[in-house]
Order: sequence, then C-alpha cells, then structure tokens
Amino acid sequence: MTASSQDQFLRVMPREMRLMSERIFSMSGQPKGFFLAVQDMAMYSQKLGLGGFALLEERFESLRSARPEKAAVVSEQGSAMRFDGGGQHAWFVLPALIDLLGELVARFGEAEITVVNVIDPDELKIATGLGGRTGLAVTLENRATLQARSRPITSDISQDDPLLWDVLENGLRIEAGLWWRIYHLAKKALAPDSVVSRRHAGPMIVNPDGTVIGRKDNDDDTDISFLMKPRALEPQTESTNS
Amino acid sequence: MTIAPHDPRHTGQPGLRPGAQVMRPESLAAIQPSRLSGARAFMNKMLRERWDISIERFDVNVESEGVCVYSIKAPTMEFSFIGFSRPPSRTARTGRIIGQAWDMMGALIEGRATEADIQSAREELPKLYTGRATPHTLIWCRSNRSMRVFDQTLDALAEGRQPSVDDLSKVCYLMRNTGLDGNGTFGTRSFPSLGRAHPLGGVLQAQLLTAYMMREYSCDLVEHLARLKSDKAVPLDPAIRRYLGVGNGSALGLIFFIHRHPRLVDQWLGAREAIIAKARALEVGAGHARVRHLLELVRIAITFRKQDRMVYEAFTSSDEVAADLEQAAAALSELCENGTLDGQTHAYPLDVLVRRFEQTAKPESVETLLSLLIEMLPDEADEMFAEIDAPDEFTVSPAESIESLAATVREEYDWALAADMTSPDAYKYVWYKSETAEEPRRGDREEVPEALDLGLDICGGVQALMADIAAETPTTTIARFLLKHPQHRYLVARIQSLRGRAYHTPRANINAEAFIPIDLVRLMNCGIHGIDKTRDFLNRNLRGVLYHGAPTPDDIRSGYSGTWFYPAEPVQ
Repeated sequence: MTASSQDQFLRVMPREMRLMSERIFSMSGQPKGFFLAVQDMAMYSQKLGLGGFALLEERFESLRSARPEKAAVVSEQGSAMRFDGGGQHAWFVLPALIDLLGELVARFGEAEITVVNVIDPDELKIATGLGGRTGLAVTLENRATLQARSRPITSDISQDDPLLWDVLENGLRIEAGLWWRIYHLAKKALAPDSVVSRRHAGPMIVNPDGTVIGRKDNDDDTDISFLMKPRALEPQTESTNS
Repeated sequence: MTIAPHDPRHTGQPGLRPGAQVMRPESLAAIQPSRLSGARAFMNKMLRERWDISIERFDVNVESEGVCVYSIKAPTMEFSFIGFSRPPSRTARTGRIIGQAWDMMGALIEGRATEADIQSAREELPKLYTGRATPHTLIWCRSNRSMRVFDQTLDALAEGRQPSVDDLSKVCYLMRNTGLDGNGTFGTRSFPSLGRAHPLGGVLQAQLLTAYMMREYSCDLVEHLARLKSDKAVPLDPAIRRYLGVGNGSALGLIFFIHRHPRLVDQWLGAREAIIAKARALEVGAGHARVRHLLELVRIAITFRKQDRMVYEAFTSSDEVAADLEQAAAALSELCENGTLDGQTHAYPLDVLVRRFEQTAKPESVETLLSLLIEMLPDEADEMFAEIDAPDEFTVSPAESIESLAATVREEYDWALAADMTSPDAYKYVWYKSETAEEPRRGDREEVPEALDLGLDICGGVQALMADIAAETPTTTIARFLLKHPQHRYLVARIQSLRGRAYHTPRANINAEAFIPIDLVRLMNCGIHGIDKTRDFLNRNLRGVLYHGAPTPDDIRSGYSGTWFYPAEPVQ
C-alpha cells in the first residue's frame, strides 16, 4: 500500500484517464480503429457524475463480447430517428449516435434520435458533453431521446468543449482504490517483460551469454546483468534519501 | 494555420516543398536543428525576456546526497526547479526507461517552492508510476551522470584546473536526461490548459525549461562537489560551461508521438517550410547584410562539424557535411562580393544556390543550409513558432459522402494505397510496450505473439477503408458508413481532421522490414527538439546534446544576443 493509495481521492488528469481507458478497451477485442475513438467515454462519464471508471471496471468483462456494428437505424422521418443499440453498451454506440445527430442537423437544422436497447442508457448523457466539439448542442430527455441543434465551432476548447476544458484544467477526483485497480487492469494490456522482449529496444542488444551486439560507446554505463535478468518490478522502492 | 504547398512554376518564386518530398522518412531524418527547433526557440525566448535563474538552495553532501532548489523568474511568473541528488549506483543502471538507478530526480513547479512542495516531491517522485504530483507541478524528471566525464571534470576542478576539452568533446555533457514526464502524467498539469499567455504555454516549453535546468544542475553539482572535495577547487570556465549541454537519449516512443500528434508535426514542418520558402525568395545581392550573416553562420557550422568527434553508424559523417558546406560557403562568398553565382545574376539567388546544392550535397548538408536560411528571417520565424497550436482531438464530419472521402484518400494517401501490404515483410514487426516501465519496443512479430500491436497502420488501414467504401453506395454519408463499419472510425476522423494539410504523416509502413525507426526519432530529436550531435545506435536509438553552447543564466540575465548554437570547442 503506497502513501498515495491511502489517501481517499486522487487528482487524475486526462492524459492518464485516456491512456488507461484506451488500454482497457484494447483488451475488449475491438479493432484499434474503434477503441481509439472511445477513449474519452469513461472520463466524460466520470465528470458528468455517471458510472465513470467504476462502471468501466464493472463492465470490462462484458465489453469483451461487444459488437458495435449490431447497432442500426430502425426508422427515420425527417429529422427524427429511432435507433436500436443492438444490445450494446451506450459507450460503444455513442460515437455513431453523435455522427447521426450531426448528419441530421446538417440536413434538417435539428435532430432527434430515440434510442432503445442499449446497456446503461444513463450514459447516453455523455453526448451532451462530447457533442460540442463537433458543433452540436445536445440534450438528453428521458434517458432515451437525444436532441441536437447546431452551434458554432470556435476552435477554442474552452468554448467548444467546456467539459473537456474543465478536466484539462482541474483533472478529476477519483477514489484512490478505484484508480489503482483501473491502473493495474490497464497494465494487463502491456506485454510481459522477457529477455527476448528487452532485445526489442535500447542502443545495444545483450545476448544470453552476456555478449553485446552494437556499439558500447552509448555512455549509459549500462548494468548488463540488469538487462539479462528482467524483473517485472516497477521502481516503487526507490528513494531520494535526502 | 494551414500551409499547403503550391507550384512555384506559376509565379517563378520559390514555393513550399511538396509533402511527397518532405514526408519521406529519409528526408525527415535529414532535417537539422534550426531557430524553429524547440530548444533554440525556447532559449531565444528566455534571452529576449531576460529570465532570471538563480540557486535558492544547494544542500548536497560529499556523497552527492541532498536537495537543491532553483528559482526561475519569467517576466510574469516564477517557477521552481527542485532536484534531489543521489549517489550514483551502477546497479540496474541503463539509459533506457526501464532503468532503476537515477542520479537526480526533480520537479518543475509553478511558483516559489515551499517546504511542503519539497517534501511532497521528496515523497512522491521515487514512487514514479504510483506517485502523485501536486496540482502546480509541470514536470517530473530524472537524469544520470556520464560517469567518466563527470568524474574527470570533478577531479580536474578539485585539483584547481579545467577539465580537458578533448575528454569533454567526446560526449559534450555531464549528465543526460533519462525521463521528462508532464502534461498530466502522474497528476502534473495538462499543457493545453496553460494557455498562450503562460510563460511555458508554447510547444514543449515546460520540458525544455526542465532540460535546461538539468544542464545547469549538472554544472552546479560538479562545481559544488569539487568545492567539498578540495580547498583548491575552481569553478568551470564560463566558455566550457556554455559548451557543455545536457545529454539526451531517445528511442522508439517518438514514433508513437509522431502518430499521435499529427497536427503538431504538420504545423511545425509547415512553419519551417514556409520560412525556408520565404528565405529562398529573398532578392539579395552583393554586400547584403543578410547574405553576410548567412555566410558567417555557414562558416560557424563548418567549424562545428569539423570539430565533431562523434561516431555515426548510418548518418552522414560530419566531415562530409563540412566539406559540402565549404562549397556553399564559396558560393555565398561570391554572392556577397559580386552579387553573382558562378558569374551569373539571378532574381532569387538563394533559391538557385539551394537547388544547385541539392544536386551535389548530402541531404543533411542541404538541410543544414536550409536551417541556417531561417536565421535570415528571425522575427517571422519566431512569430510562426509562437502560432503553433495543435489540439490532439479529431472529429468526424458525418454528413460528408464516402465518395468525397474516397477522393481525399486517393489524392492525399496515394502513397499508402500504393504500399504492398500483401508482401511477407509488410507486417513483419510489431510495435508494443512492455509491462515494465511501459518501454516502447519494436520486434519481430513472431517473437512476441502476446504483444498488442500499438503502431498506427496507416497503409493497411487506408487500404481496408477504401475496400469497404468501394462496396457501399457512393452517396452514403460517413455517419451511416461508420455505423456499419465502426472499425474505421479513428482513421476516418484522422483523415477528415487533417484534410488539406501536407506535412502530418510520414509516408511509410512502420511495420515493414524496410522501415528504419531512427529516421523518425531523428526528426523529433534534431528538427523538432533541436538536439545536436545525435549518435545513432542499431537504427533505433539516439544519444545527443541539448543546449550545446547555450548561454548561462548570467548570459540570459544580461540579454546576450550573439549566435550561441554550433559552439566551437573552447580553446585551452
């Protein structure tokens, strides 16, 4: 138990929230082109007081069987549309919903999409935050109906996406225990260390017999034995001793 | 700021070089430090604004254990650099991010450091990945000594003499950066939230101030330890102190950076190309002050290259660059004296010079000349650098038709469509990160079957996107297309967000056998960061020198205005 994790809450910034979300989603089996586009979901959810990272932790296993392409437009009339989420999680259909809102607004000046058959429909509220950066003012009614109008894009994050701006400025307070569980879950997306893997980086390659491939004049004063015996330990016990 | 190349044949004036030329990895690797490189731009800013850097506290004992605090006063704000010195250890020592032995750990914070700040940094920094920075922390950093050169310098100073320039010139620094973390990492401040009015609100400025503080700390530490060791100790000669930069090691992680920050890459390269084109279009002649200045800079560069003692594996040797630059100097000399090149006058003589130089000189030599051309338009260059503002977020334009998107892809990603992704080598390598210290690695896919591929497969992605577009009705909107094909979402948003920009994506399949990682590492280190003498190792790692020749705090305080880069070896 570290000193930090003994504190009740941590201030976590977007860079780390996005990184952890991305890594966790990368283990869901979704293609990279999809999971890279949903990395903000848990952060916006947390900021809006929805499920946030606790929900990410809770839903992680079920996200492994997600099929976002199962979502579909059921019917549409003018600017109104009925959308079947295909039993997918709200986070995984929200990007498509925001696209469709944008398309309808471009055609009709307004949009209304009624969403059915999604997991955690309260999370649809994230669209009210994310819509701004695409030039949409979005509202959610009755946990199911998204309405949108056009709003000007200024290219100033603080104006276009005030939720993101607030998080960039202040971060989010997240319960420490939850955050470290998320951190360790995300680490599973990284490759285990090994002697072979250690040969895939660095200015020199150390062979199993201790001989070295590459120039040694890298000025690193490298501890060769360290590279030959990878330890899966992070430097948590270092001390400045001062 | 959108900069698109135009065809110069229509006006006769030199134009921007096309993306197809600039964005080849081998071309990007040749780009040399310039006034638009981060370190040079930031140092020039500190000089212009006469920042005041001073030691507040230096409590380090003879065993190298202790703490130091620096005050850094910008015109509108004060910062503090807190550094913890530790006795060097050879155990678990390596320049790689996986290392576990650091001779200095530090923090750059906003405001005047309080005891609470120092105590927090003392407790949290060593935890690294499980530590938390205070809300006004900008950077956490680590650095290691170059053991041999540091010890040689310490011994010399303690004996009352200056260190041998012969020894120093082999690395040109006392300590080397082994980690700079900020922009939200470990709870540090998010850089986009700093805003342009913040003294460190520009591109990479918090990291670059920290790197400069590492340089200062290394010199102050060696002087301090010499004083503790001997009554006869002398300080570093100011000329040697300027000559010493801070070391820097960089590797594969910068390829991830390039792919994640295409707007930044585009704006930076776009600014560079725009200033170069403008400089090539200058109508200069005999006795022109700008030409005299350029000639002087080329001669400084020749000396710098002739004195360069580094060994390069794949890069052009400094002797070759110096020889090429001699040709440029001869031509510039004629232009300066007679207003001619080879006896002929030209409307745009610098453009003619560059075009001729391109025919005979190494790419690195050409890029050195182009970097020096930027110095002819210093104010314009500084203004363009200050305008660089590149948010990371991409958005989808949902109402566009897939037919329209396909036209963009055919026009702007022809190189990616032409890549042979069916070749056995097309996916030979995988890019991944290790669980230990999250070290970016690149290896034979078969050797690490468990690794998740983190590399951005632009070529494969674009080809798959076009195949799926071809199977749909051309008038289908992007919104409907992505509903059916969600796997293309990130790439479509990226393509749409970068449309019309020329310099955002290196034109290469990074998974292929033929791709040389060091090319893009060097773009970042040399061109964007402004690192000199980048030695290459195994085509994937670089070791170089930041702030080589940079003014000291005394120089900055007094507003030094001379040329400080490409320093000559101090005379002993």
